[in-house]
Amino acid sequence: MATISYLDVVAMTGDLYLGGLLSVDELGLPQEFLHSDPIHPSKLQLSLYGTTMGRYLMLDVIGKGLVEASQARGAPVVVGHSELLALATKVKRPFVKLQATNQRPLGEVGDIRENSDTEFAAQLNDVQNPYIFTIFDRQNFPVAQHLPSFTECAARFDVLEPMVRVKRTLEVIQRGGE
Amino acid sequence: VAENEDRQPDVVRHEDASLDAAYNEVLRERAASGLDESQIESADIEKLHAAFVPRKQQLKLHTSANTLDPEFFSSKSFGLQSRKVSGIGFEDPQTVKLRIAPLPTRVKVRRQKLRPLKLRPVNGLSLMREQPVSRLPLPVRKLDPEMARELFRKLFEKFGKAAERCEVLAVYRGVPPAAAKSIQVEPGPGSLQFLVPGKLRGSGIGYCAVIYADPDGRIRRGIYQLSP
Repeated sequence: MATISYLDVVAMTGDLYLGGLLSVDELGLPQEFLHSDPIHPSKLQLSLYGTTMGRYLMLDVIGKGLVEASQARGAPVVVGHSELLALATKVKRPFVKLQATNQRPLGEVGDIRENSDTEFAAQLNDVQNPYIFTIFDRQNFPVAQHLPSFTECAARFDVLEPMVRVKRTLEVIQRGGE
Repeated sequence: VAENEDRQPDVVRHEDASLDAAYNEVLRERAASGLDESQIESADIEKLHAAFVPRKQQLKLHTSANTLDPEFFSSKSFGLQSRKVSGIGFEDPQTVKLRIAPLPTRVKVRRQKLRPLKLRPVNGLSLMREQPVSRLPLPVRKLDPEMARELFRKLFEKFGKAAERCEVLAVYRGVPPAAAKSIQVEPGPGSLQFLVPGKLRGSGIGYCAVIYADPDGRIRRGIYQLSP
């Protein structure tokens, strides 16, 4: 059974950082959702860390912490923005950024077209247009190993849709809805 | 003014001894620098010594200015003294001796503790289940032939031969039967939304939500297992 995780870390208003990791099954149904408490760096920390604060919080504290705490070990992680791909250097999980396109279908489900060393287009189902996969490197994301998870899931749901739920839930948490 | 004029000579006189000492010190320094007067003509020696006179005057003025009290600085006679200073030029930097307070050899070190930025993962699955899951419609023409046959069989079981008058409007894959009560179809994009009632895993595989018009033209919806 295929499992895909979705990770997003966002900077809210007032130097507030919040992250969430959703793991879904092959139907896109939530199996696990972990989120961080809002992390608010102090003025001293903001001064000492300077411009590196955002990256440090997103990668080293929230992103790494959530992925390591997840039970869905080995499942590919779809990240909310490209900056989170650098987690590949910190955690042993395959990371990918997905993007829908209006490109012509590539042919059969599972077909790919290489764009560069870190980017390729893939046909995930027979209904939608190809998706653009942006990865950290080929070692972190062996295509032949992980693409079947995406084609299996894409046969039943839009593989970008769970990320929308993550973002919506983070907004609810920021508003103090929990 | 009279009082200050009386004071000025006192100050100068008071400094005469120290000025002479400073002047002699300069001479000693010049001698120590390798100047051998025995090798110089007597007339030149006199010129040489005469060259030190303006320097002696400078030293005198400089020392006087440094030893004047604040009251003297505010007086009119200080103005006169100032003109003398500016007329001749000011001191030679080599003659200024500054007293510098020694730097402290030990400083107090204060250690500021940085609050560690730690993550405390929170299980928010119940919160996530409040977010509806969304499904895009599968175009009917894209429906797998086996799934289409199975759907017609289901409709035939329900309506008999009248099932031929049913019109399938949309099919959504991967909708678990447990979510049937919460199904909603958005009018615009035609996407279907439902809530996940509890922890489900794989219980909706093969199930599809179908929106169709029955033989009487009424819009109906149902969840059917169309594939294994």
